[in-house]
Amino acid sequence: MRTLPTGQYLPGHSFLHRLDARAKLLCLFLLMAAVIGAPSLWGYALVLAVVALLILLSGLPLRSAVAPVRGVYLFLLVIWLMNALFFDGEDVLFSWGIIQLTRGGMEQGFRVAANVVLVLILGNLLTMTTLPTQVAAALASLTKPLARVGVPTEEVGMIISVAIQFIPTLLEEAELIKMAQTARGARFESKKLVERATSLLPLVVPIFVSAFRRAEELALAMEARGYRYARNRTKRQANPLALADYLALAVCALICLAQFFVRR
Amino acid sequence: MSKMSPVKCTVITGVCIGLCVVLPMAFHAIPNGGTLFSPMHIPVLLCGLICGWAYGLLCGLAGPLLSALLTGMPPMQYLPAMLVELGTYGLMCGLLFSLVRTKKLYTDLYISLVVGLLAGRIVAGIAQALLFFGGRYTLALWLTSYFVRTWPGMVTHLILVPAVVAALIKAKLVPERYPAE
Amino acid sequence: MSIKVENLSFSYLQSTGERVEALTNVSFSLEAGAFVGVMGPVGSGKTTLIQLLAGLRVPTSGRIYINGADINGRGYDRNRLRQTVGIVFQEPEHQLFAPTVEKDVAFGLKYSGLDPQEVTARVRWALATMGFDYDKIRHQSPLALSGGEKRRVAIAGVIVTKPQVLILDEPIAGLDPSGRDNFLRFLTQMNQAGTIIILVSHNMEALADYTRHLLVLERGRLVDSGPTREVFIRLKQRTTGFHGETGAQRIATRLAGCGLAHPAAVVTYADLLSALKQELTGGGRG
Repeated sequence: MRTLPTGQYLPGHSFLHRLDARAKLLCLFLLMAAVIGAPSLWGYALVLAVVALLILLSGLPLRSAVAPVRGVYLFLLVIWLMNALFFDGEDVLFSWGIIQLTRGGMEQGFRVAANVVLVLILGNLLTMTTLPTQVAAALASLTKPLARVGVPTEEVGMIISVAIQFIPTLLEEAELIKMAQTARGARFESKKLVERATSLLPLVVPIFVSAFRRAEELALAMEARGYRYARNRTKRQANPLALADYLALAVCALICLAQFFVRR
Repeated sequence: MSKMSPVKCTVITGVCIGLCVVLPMAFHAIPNGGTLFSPMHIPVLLCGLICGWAYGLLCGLAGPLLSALLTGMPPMQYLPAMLVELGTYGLMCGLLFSLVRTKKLYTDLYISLVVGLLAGRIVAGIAQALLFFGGRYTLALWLTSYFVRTWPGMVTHLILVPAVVAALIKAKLVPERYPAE
Repeated sequence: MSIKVENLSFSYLQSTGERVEALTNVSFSLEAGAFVGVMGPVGSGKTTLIQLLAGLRVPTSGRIYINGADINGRGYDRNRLRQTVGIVFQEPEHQLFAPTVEKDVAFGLKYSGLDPQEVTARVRWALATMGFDYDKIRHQSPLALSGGEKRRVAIAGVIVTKPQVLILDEPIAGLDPSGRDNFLRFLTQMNQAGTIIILVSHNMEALADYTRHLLVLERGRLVDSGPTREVFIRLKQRTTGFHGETGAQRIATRLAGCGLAHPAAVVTYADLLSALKQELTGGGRG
């Protein structure tokens, strides 16, 4: 049962699936900036159109593309209410104690809710069309320039790859531990807070002890092989970006820039 | 905790990040397992305490990020605040634990944890208020609600984390802090 | 006490979208006093089978009856199942967590309703049974013990509830030869006192010497079952698939090549010895 979770990934061959993961990550950041920087209704209209186009290009069913939004209705409502009722605005429509309903607050609420919805869909499009391992590799490759300013990116890369490698084993062990303690009669449903916290000890302690035991074994094996900081590892040659990747990046950059021109 | 080789810190941090992904999945089935006691916090706190602030910070950032990418937990809208919160936990716990040395393991642990957990909540509360809400009232209101909501989690972590540290020392997987002469 | 397994199947979905059949249509029944071994190659479904028997997984199809009650049926009392069926997992570190050995072993009795004196008496009994000096070990941390000691504490933590069915997954792997023999003798005693013992092992000698019945699994299917001796003899005659063989069987085959002993009847070292005796004193084929 040792397999890595594939997360939200839905296999496919669409334009979005085929784009390089690095390009997709950068585009995601650019578009998120465009969403958050959207200055006016027209700005939102622009990003909304872009998001709709991306959903079409992803070849994903609309239902699954917008799935994460369906789970956050209540969250959005709370955000909108909090902003509408507690915003320090001029044009007060109604007030009672510290509560005051303002036009500015209602607008602010809509803005934040729209941001959340659009960012959620964008993030979802990335994870549904990209394998987690590709995302991780893209992150590692994009953070490489940080090495020049003293961040030990090689070591960070090593840490992340250890993490990804270990997830299936850790998951399996956690399952076994849960079974072993359940079989011994462990119960986790107490009303009292301290009691409930203590009832988690039979799970949490063995999970960490066995995880640290694995870490110790791997560290010893690495030290025995003379590993220090992965400095001398042969670097994998990354594939260059394709034309489509550059085009996608350029379009996203343009959309981001456009937000400054629709300001008025 | 006195002397851990850099290789060991590298691997332990990797395993702790892995646990950030695994624990929420493993505790999913336990009543209130995910929401009330936030299992992802435990490896971050431990990583900071055992490997130091730099590793703790990395674990606090990479853990939730990797988990969101792999499993969709936490959902994207909570991710930024969670990165800030967990990053602060790992950083502060590591920093304090290396500075506070009262000659008593548990005193050191509780001081580092309490201050670290409070700092993380304040910073995350502010980050969330700035991200989602504007205005003076909301900030104070949001901070209060944040503390009220996460209070059970804090108690849980104060019980679980020292117990895990003690177990790891007993199992000789982590060096003694104050070895007996 | 009886266990009845009917058409038990278990499959799970891999993240690649593939459905993996871990167990397919397994049926058997065990009566009171059974001492049964489970064998088969790695990945044959042994562990899945015992996890299902302990009620830790829910079968995809099929039923398990313990004392006539379907353990996955509606309204079945899971907490009573935990007191009835004890299971020892392969890795002792998967269950040790408490600050002292005494507390760790007592954990299984937390919800038993026994009073503190009875709990102490039970813990003392379980630790003594596993060969510990109670007063010496009770305050030690279970995590600071050696590998073999951890395994014995883990087993003590399961037998402390005096389960009517005791399931063990490779329990003798980390024990030294004398600890191994002591432990297997203890299993025999428990069995004679009425406990059903289900022993999963790759150790053919232990299975041949101590179990009375065997279940042989291969790729999730029950390919053979029956009295231990008959199963070993049949397994030896198999030409394909899993091929479990005891050391005595292997030696007997070699000896047969030199014209000594009848390999077909030899399963344990005791068999081998008596066959050789007969051969050398001029009995048998003469």
